[in-house]
Amino acid sequence: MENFAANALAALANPIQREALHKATTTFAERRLGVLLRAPNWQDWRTHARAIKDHTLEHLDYYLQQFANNAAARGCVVHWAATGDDANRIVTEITKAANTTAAVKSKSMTTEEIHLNEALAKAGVDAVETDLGEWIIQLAGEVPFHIVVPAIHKTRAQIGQLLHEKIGVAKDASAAELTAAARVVLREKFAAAGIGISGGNFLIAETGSLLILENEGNARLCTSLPRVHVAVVGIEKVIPRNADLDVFLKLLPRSGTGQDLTTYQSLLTGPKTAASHEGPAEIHIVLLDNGRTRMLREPKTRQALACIRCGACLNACPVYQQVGGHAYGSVYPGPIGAVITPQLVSLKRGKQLPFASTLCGACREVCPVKIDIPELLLHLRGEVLVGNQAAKAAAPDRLQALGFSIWAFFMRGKRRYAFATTLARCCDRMFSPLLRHLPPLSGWHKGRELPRLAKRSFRAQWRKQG
Amino acid sequence: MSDREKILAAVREALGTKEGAPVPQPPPPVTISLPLQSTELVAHFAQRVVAVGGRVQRLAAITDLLGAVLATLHAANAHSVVLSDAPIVQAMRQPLTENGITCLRSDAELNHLLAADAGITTAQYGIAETGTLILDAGRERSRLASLLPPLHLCLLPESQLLSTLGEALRALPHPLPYAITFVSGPSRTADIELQLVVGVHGPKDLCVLLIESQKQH
Ligand code: SF4
Repeated sequence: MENFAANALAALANPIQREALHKATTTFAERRLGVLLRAPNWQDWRTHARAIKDHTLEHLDYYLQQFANNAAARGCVVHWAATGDDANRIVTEITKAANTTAAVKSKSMTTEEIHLNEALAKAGVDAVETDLGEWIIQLAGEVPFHIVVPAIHKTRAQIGQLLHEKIGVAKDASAAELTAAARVVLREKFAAAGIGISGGNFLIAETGSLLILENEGNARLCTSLPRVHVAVVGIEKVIPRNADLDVFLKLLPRSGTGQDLTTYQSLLTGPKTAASHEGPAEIHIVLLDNGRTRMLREPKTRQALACIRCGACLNACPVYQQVGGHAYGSVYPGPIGAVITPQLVSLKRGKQLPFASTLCGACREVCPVKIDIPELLLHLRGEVLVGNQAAKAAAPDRLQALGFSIWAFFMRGKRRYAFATTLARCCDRMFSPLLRHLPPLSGWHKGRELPRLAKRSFRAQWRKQG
Repeated sequence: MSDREKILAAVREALGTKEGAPVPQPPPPVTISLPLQSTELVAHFAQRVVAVGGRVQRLAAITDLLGAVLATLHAANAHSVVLSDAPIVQAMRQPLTENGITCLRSDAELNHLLAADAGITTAQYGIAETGTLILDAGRERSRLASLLPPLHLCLLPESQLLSTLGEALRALPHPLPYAITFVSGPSRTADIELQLVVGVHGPKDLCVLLIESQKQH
């Protein structure tokens, strides 16, 4: 559930997780800065990439049709899913038609969003995550902690313990040994799978192609070994031309992991067409709406659809850096999660998330497609408040009104002001420790330190100096 | 209404447009990175491949190829290799076999491919800017040979080196083949405590054999 406040407190009380989180976010942020030093045109790239995304989103119907027609012409089966349930049903039917219960999956936030694995499990299909981090998360029965490195909150010892219980590796195995053990287990899964399931980073309208970025090689395996490949992709992922990949491939890996390029990019255009080809005989592409057309309505919320899921805003966010991904209680964590979760899920269930930010602007600064996340968060806060207004109108806040009139009274004259500050200083000295345990200060105090007033006021000090 | 029409209608409604409304040209592609000097290509490519964890060996002539391949296989203690169907790779089948190496075709049974020690392919292009190999599955059965075994030996004539990613995207064939793979270094993960581990799902060793162009004839 999206109960940010409670989750955040729990996260703050977990020193191991905080240590891991600190290491991950600072490492990625530093690496990103390192590669940016070698990218003098960075700002131009961002502007160009955003212009392409804006253009495509403004004419999304045109580009979606172009993509769907070209992909179909190359032999892909294109499906359209209005909701997550629709997409899950479509993928389940494809596995049935493929007559298989063994699926391998490469990392995809979109399938996390629609809870595809649960839907497949209900239909008796065993969908195995094959990205190392995702696989660990799946074995642990958790959800990703970070959109790029899902298991980053777990220590090697914890992973060792988990894999010891699940596949019998030595508890004190090194990262290399754990990885090697995973390779062996997952190779068997790849060899047995009847279907490979992936997401997709970009859909190219002009060619009907799907582009997948990765480092491990599991997406390559998922899309070349099984007889059937299904890609579940959000409708906002389409871009007009092949040439547009240039700028996005410049921005995405540098922003996400601080690499010049990820190890592999697979550019897939249709199933194999000759017996001598290596690859799936069937490719299905499921185009998912699930709330995206709602975000398209206003130019302000539309910009969140430009997101390329690089994860840079997570690493840069002072709130994420402290509380991590699970506190958001949603599939998409961090600043971008706080923006899209309330819109994809529903404002009601995700209403705490727009407030889980200091609006410091670090996310806007790093976003490779220049999404103004703070602006969006403010917009969503407004929406939440409008929703709350009906309740407010019934019970106006009398206490707050009284507080403000008292404040106004004391601010209206020099003497009154001096009296008030002296009084405050006395109260501070005598009651401060007590006050912080009483409402309303006690609530405010949970996450903050109430500063003590100086012994002597500025005015008093000034008089003495003069 | 079909699901396709429903979603397209929802998109149009959200955007306030009608079907068939004119679409202006997308923003013109810009030159994202400047090309390198042709004299720098080889050095830059080699440096980038090494930077991402691969190896590069430069061969003065094609006649050096067999010796280099054998030396690399021996050093890696590799006894079985998957060969792609590129003519230059297939030409090595007999001499490799004579040297005690088991050669598999890339369409051999999967469990044989999974057990092989090395794979040999060519690449259609190399990108100097990023140290990237471009494998065109339409031209060569290289998808599995470059992916399944722990060692990937990739042959690339220097004449096929391009400067930038943008140039490479323009050089891709039209229409696109069913699969193109861009490869920069060995398979890697940092999912456990951010420690870099190579060879997680693909090769842990990528060795590029660059064949000098002027001496090919
Ligand atoms: S909002 Fe921007 S920085 Fe955050 S994940 Fe999306 S593209 Fe990256």
